[in-house]
Amino acid sequence: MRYYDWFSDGSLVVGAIGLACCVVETEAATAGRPELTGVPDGARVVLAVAGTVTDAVAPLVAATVAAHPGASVVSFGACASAGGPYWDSPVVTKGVDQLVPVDHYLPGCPPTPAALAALLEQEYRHG
Amino acid sequence: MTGHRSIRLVYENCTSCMICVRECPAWCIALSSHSEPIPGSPPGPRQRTHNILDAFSIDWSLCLYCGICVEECPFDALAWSDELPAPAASASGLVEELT
Amino acid sequence: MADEVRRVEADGWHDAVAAAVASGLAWFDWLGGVDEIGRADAIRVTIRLAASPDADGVRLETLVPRDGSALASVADVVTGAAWHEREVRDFFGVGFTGGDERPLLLREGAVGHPLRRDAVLAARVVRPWPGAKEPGETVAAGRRRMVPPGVPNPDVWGEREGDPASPEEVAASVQGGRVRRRR
Repeated sequence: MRYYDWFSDGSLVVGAIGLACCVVETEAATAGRPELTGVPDGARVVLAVAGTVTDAVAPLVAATVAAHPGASVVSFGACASAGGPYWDSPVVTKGVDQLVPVDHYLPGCPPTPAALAALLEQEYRHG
Repeated sequence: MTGHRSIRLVYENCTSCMICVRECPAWCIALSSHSEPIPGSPPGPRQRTHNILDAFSIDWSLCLYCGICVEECPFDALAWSDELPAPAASASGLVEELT
Repeated sequence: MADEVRRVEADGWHDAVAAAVASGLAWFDWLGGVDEIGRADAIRVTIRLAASPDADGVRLETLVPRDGSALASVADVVTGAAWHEREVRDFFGVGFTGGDERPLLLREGAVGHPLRRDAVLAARVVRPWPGAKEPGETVAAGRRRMVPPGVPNPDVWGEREGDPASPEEVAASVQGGRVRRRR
């Protein structure tokens, strides 16, 4: 996974768990921000789950989130929030919140990069 | 130019016909209505009635912005909107009551 | 231009495809399945071949019984068909002897074949359909339940008296046809 120093001041590290097309938007949102090789000590971490969580990939998503204790989880888009267009598929998890607690749900199919930026600005800019 | 970031309800155009609800592939629209006599119509066993829209909501955690509801509505009661739906702290918080 | 359609018997499938390829129809377009339930207790397997991508095609079709019977794999003469055969096996439960036995799109050990017409989408059964209400109704009236696409009529699905519904009944009800209730 790629980590980005969101505010370029080491205060917030954002990582995207890219699973489907929403990743195009999270990449647009992170473009131009400093990339980190890992999570620095003391930084807050936000994991954006972007895309369809299939039952096959669900354990990996849960393990990735578990590997970042204390991280906030943003459900980026309809698929991660409730299954989206694939809500009735026999092989799709109906939202990442069935696996891990989610802090923020960002609606959209897909949400815009600006929507992620606005959410992070509002929730994480100052402590 | 109007973007298509969300869908808005034109309340006065809605006849509660349920077409959008049934056409939605994500089942994300909920509508409830009741029927009332048309004011001024002659009373009696065959009094004419019309439907009054009570509640209309879209679940943004399921909506795929396909626009089928906008296309299918025979009364232009649904339209594209440029406003993004707001983020929420719970999945149920993405259910928005449209008025 | 319409494709020429050649219907062949299941046991002559491999030879018919091999002969078509040998006759110059060497460009493989696709291979797929269709559940023919209601018309025949079989899955129709179709392969489309042509002399070139722009030329008129030939479709070879055969019927494979729905009970899990197998066709001979044609991957030895049409290499590209291997993935399509795996997909048909995943989605329709048709075996291909001599082919690749690994699932392509479903997980190892997945239960059921989702594109068979009697496969029920559980999520659509569990979740109340918002469209069940009639205009002017605040709650859906129980007298005549409307059923969404992809969910069989309750008469053939779930709790009912007597034997479980046959695949034909389930399939017919999913297609919106009236299902005669067995007494």
